[in-house]
Amino acid sequence: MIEVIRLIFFLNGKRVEFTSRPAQTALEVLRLLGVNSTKEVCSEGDCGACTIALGRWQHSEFRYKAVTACILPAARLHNTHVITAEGLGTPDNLHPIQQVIYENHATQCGFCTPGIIMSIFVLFVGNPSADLQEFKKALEGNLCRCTGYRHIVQAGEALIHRVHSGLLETRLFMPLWAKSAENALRNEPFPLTTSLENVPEYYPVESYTLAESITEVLSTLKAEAGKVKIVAGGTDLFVEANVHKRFHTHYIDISRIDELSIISAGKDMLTIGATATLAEILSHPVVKESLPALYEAIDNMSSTQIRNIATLAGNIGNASPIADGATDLLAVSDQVEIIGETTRCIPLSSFYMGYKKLNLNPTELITALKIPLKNYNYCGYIKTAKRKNVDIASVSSCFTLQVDNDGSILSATLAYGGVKEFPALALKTMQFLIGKKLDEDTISATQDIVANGFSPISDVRGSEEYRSELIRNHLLKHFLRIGEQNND
Amino acid sequence: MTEKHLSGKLHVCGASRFIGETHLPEHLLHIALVYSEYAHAEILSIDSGKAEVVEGFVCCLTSRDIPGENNIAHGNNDLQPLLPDVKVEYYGQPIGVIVAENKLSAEEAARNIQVEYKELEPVLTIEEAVLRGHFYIEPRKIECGNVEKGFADSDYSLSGEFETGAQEHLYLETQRCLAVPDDDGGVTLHSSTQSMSEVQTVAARILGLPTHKVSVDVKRLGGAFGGKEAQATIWASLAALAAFHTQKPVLLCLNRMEDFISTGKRHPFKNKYKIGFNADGKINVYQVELYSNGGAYTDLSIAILERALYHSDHAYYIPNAKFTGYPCRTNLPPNTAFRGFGAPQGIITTEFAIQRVADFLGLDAIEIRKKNCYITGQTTPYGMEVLEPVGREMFDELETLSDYHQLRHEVDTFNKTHKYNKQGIGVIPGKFGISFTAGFLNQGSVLIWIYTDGSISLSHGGIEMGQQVNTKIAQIAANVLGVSINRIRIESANTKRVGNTSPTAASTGSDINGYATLDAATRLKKRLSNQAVKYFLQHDSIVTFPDSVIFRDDKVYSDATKDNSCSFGELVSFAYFNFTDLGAHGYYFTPGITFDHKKGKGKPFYYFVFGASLSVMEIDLLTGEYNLKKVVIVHDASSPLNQEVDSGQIYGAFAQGYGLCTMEELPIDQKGRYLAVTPSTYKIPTISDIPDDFTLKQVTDRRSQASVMGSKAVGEPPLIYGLAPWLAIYDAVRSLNPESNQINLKFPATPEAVLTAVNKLRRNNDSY
Ligand SMILES: Cc1cc2nc3c(=O)[nH]c(=O)nc-3n(C[C@H](O)[C@H](O)[C@H](O)COP(=O)(O)OP(=O)(O)OC[C@H]3O[C@@H](n4cnc5c(N)ncnc54)[C@H](O)[C@@H]3O)c2cc1C
Ligand code: FES
Ligand code: FES
Repeated sequence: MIEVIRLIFFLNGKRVEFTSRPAQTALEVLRLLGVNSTKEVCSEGDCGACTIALGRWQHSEFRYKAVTACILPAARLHNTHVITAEGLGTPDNLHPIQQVIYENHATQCGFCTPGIIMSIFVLFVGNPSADLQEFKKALEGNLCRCTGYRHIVQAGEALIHRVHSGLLETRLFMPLWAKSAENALRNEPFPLTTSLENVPEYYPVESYTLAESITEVLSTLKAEAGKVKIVAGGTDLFVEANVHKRFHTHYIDISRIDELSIISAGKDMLTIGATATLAEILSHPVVKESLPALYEAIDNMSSTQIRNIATLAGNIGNASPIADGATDLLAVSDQVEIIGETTRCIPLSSFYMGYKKLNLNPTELITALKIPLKNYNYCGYIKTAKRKNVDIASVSSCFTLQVDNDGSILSATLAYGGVKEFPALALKTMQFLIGKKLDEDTISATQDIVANGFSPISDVRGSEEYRSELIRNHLLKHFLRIGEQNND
Repeated sequence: MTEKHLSGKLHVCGASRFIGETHLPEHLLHIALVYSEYAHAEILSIDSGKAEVVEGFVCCLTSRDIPGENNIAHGNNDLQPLLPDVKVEYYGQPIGVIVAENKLSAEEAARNIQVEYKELEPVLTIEEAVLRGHFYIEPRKIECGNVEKGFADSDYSLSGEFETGAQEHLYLETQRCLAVPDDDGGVTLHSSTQSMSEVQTVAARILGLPTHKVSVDVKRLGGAFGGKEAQATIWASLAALAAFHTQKPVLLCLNRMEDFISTGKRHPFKNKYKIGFNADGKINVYQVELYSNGGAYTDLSIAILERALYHSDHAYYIPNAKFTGYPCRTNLPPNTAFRGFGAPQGIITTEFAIQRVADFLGLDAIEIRKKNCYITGQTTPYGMEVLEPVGREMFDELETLSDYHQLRHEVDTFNKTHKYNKQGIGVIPGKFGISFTAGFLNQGSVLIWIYTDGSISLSHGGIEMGQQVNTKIAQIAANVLGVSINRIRIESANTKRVGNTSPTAASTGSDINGYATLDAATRLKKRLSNQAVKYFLQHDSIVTFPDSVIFRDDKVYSDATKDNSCSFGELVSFAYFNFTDLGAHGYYFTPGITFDHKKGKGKPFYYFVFGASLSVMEIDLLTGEYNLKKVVIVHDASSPLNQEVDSGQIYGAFAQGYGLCTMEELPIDQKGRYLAVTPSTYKIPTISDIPDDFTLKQVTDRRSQASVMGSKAVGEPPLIYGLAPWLAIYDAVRSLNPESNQINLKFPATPEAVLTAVNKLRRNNDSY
């Protein structure tokens, strides 16, 4: 027996109901509902062909986000409004975005096209004055193998021109029926009901719960100790499920617990709730101002669609050796707040205990990340990957420096990803730097120290030799950046 | 006005249908496959006992269940089993078909199939294959002049090796087929294939049926790039087999990882070259041995090797040449067609040799390239006269458009003032031969029906996969009949309406099917002109002649004075009531294509497409990362049928070439498994990899050597432009030590490869 959930949501303005099996994906559900435009290409969030606009009330605002339906848990369709390409226009009555793609020959085989349309749609709905750079950034997560993108860029230029010159009004981009769906969702959010269903015994998952409170999460974790997997964004977990067919018996989804999504900045501490998405973190003013390395790291992580779902806590919880967020946070001395029987706060550096091994009990939940706000003289993040964007790094690093008035180093932190079983601090280098001046000698000495500190492995993202070289050179790059910064 | 994509409005609304997404038949069964877990092994036993008890299980099919001949090889003498019975030849080779009521139970059952193997040693690399003499055929050879004398007469010579890597097609729509049984024992296949007749013939052979009992219908593909030319056949045949046994509709749809693991790629090549030249940069002799990694079955390896050989002269006149090709057999998935079809692998080797000549002589490579470009009347090493060598013209245009000398100066200045970043310029010409080198494939046909209301249905042998052959074909028919394009519906490609089709490949789709369209539409126009003469006599008492009748703007005019006219629809209806055949079949074959493989001489191409392109790259000496800063392309378009469609092909091909020579890397492990099997590890260019500073000029001077309505094929030629970034990276690395003749930059030049090349050069160069 499995627990199925009765989803109620709006699809292109129309209310729909669907009984979903646990851990089904939104893409599967939309397909079964007859949606033709949302394509399955990779099932791992990497191509954007399944991009939909997902709208929901949050903090008394209705906002649409571009998300990849293939790794979105279906449960998260509940109480939302989903817009897909067929909702925007029809062949006889194209939406202005569809029109501009069509006119500029920016579709060839057409398989990527609906996803591209949806990414552009959400961009302009949220940011009517978007420029070409923002346009391109919004599409980094949409692969197209046919067009070579030039015609898509030309369509973008045409669209931006039309919007900026007033020929097109972006407020008309949102179909008229959207309002009534949004209102209906505000007035009476639908309760989520579940029931039991018989399935063949090989069905891998028994339940998927959309939790409403921390207490609910904790009691579920306790009741089914070891068999429950916490889902935040799900961008790691659903890739595992779709591509590697690794499932868990029970999932508890914490993304709808609003109290966990809060980002709050105190005088000298930034607290990021466990379900705050990467996109939400990026748009927080304090992050951009005071934590430039974190901003850079997140800005270069994955794609718009993924940043709209993924969380920083999940990045840490996934325990990947190359996680960008974790690498960055190690250097800005982050504390992980964990709740279980009791609440505890531990430094991130003692959170990792081995390859994919964490200082976290199966009955515990990460609730927040706490980042001290310091006056860094330098705080930078560098990521080297095969591809400039939407790629996992070969090596990444975060370096911070505080220097006193006469130029001696007061404190230095240096963290690397991709060099060990988990993101790690270059402790010897950090110690060495204390009290030193930033001169040629220091720079060349640290490079040797840092390189000797790690013995990275070879895999598809880089050989051992390449990684060793990057470890040295990243540090040099940080020093060069410091030099540039001081010259400005 | 440029006509827009015929299906463009459907695409942007997500309304266009692809196979196996929505609108599925009732009682549909699903397939999951059992794949070989070894690159080379004997199959000792296959036990389906545990699978059979899985709920929803329908059947498990193996080689024993093939009623016909267990061979899917097409158009060559090899034998490739649909499902091997004794031996697997590559990791990921399908060995069993599980049919079940839904995908999940099919997958579960497939996991429960137990296969016992006896592992054999696999041969994975070209080196190993050469050591063991695993070649598909005797070496192919092209020779001209006297190579020995050429070297003796040369002031200098250089030699070396050049290796290229595999490339995954990554068409967005994975391989798939929906097979539906017919009531007479036949089967209809909705296959995502570029070669519907091949699918038809092979599936019929597998099922032991006459060809007419299998029909294939192809509406459109979500991308193909050569990857569905020979390699769609296996999936279609497996689905056909399942439908045949179950007598129910069956869907086989690969997921992305299966597609990566099990399908063939662009052939890796390992080439050995020697080039002889004079102090002034004139090339006297070029000798190259090409070794391709063909994978486990022949597939299209021989034709691909041939095209590599035919393009080893690239755009240059080489009086003394010897090109030898060896297609190697290994235990990888059979490598296959991919846009360019071997030509890029031959061309980049030649271009690298030329680059080295320039470096050696201390000259700008563009000068060497210009100096050795073909001029009118020269012949290629295989004896084909180059009638319209516009290569020089393309270079001149490129130099002007890019302001080459100023650009060179800027790059040099940049390099002098930047310690950790360097820029480089890469220039590459284009000369690409058009026609199937398997001469008999150069034929096309169409079927047109004009219905009595004047609407037109057109079926042709080409497959629409985004390249917009349908748009071009509709334009041609509309042009002949003087009607608007909306009047024409391009039907799905279907073996029942157009038989014995050639694959839509070798860039020839709109050439051969376009000419056939011209043929059919002209026949219809003639018949209608005759009827128009009658019509104007009866209605307007006007005497006119068939040749005077004008078809334009959906109207028919009695003659050039345009005094009398009727609508197209009216004439069609009149013609019908006057017993006129309103259907026409059109046919075309490309004249004059011959090749004698023994002599290595002939005319394998109808014409060439020329061009030239330039890229500027900036590399980071600390990480090996790079940035494509600027692209300029000059392309010989002759008289394009649709200039925007062609520019879309050029942009798309460029991006694929760019990926091929930079970030697209497919390492294998010792067991013959690809290590990058999803887009998370296999990276293709994104929108931000393509620079805004991108100039494309299509030279639209109509050439005498061109195809239908003066147009030229455009699918593959521009891929070569995408190799310029590699040469630009090379140039940037070389700026560290322009004296060096020892730059080891791998192809593809991943950031790691760039950093390795930089470091090697630095180690040999203390002055840095
Ligand atoms: C296309 C794509 C691109 C990507 N690019 C990058 C990239 O550039 N850099 C990078 O670092 N990552 C990248 N990722 C990986 C992934 O997006 C990130 O790791 C992301 O931060 C994970 O967050 P999530 O909320 O989606 O995690 P989830 O999948 O929800 O969870 C990940 C793990 O953390 C655990 N977990 C989550 N929240 C908690 C909690 N509150 N308490 C306890 N345990 C918890 C889960 O149980 C699970 O084991 C990419 C992923 C995709 C699909
Ligand atoms: S299918 Fe590729 S991102 Fe969803
Ligand atoms: S149009 Fe084919 S993938 Fe974009």
